[in-house]
Amino acid sequence: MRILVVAALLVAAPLAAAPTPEAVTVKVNGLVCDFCARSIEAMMKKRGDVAGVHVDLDKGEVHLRLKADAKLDDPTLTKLIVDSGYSVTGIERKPL
Amino acid sequence: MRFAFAALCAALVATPVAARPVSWPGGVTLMQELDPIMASALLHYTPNRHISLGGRYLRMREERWQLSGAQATWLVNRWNMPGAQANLYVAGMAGAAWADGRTARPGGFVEAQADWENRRVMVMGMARLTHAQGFGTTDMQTVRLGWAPYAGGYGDAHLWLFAQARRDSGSRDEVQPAFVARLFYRTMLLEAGVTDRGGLVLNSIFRF
Repeated sequence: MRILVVAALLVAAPLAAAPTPEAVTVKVNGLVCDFCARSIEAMMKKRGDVAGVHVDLDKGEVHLRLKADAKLDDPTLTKLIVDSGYSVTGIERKPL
Repeated sequence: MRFAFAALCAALVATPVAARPVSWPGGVTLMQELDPIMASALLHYTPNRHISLGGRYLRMREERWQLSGAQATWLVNRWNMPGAQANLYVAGMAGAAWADGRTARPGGFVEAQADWENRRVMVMGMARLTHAQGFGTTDMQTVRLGWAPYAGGYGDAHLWLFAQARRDSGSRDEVQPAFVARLFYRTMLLEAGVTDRGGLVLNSIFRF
């Protein structure tokens, strides 16, 4: 029994620590124009850890799909959005 | 609303009609304008979100002289609001001016541009002061009021309709009202219009 428990822990531990991909919603002010919002897509595509970008002009939100090994923290993300020409009002993350 | 009023005031005192003359960091933009007063092409690079640097060719169609040189555009300030955005830009260009068969002389312009927009309404204004040795000094102002018939989503083709007025002190027909339609899709923007005297307005912007 003890061997089974140890074996289960050995198998489960790496799985629990394995990075999971994230969905990030960035709430943005000034997001009114598709032509200009292309800057966000251009900036995000420079990063290898962003798998997908979508902009919701109606809600003023940027939706990102991050890869499992992404290292895109909130300050870096905020800087990318600000460099794209917009102001960040909130960031929400959830695992995919 | 305050910013809309400020943009309108800026327009009245003084614009081209370029959408966002500063792009994203690392972005390259090609802008072209044609109307009865002038023809212009600008290729610029944006090193950071405040500045773009490039080269412009400008032909004054009625005055029959040309200007070519380097241009810098500074995004002085951007106001990002919930559901709206406003911008103030200042630009300067320096280079050589010439007419057919004449020696090139120093020339350039300074320009201020302001805009305010939400998803359905846009106000833009621009004022430019151009000087070229041997050709004198002219001032030009453009004002635009735009309306989008629908609020397109991300990735849709977007349509805007503009009422425009442009005045050029060097032009015989001093104020030229025009109706301009703008269509843009992703990073391509095309404008076509007509002035009150049947002159063609044709502008485009391509971002890379």
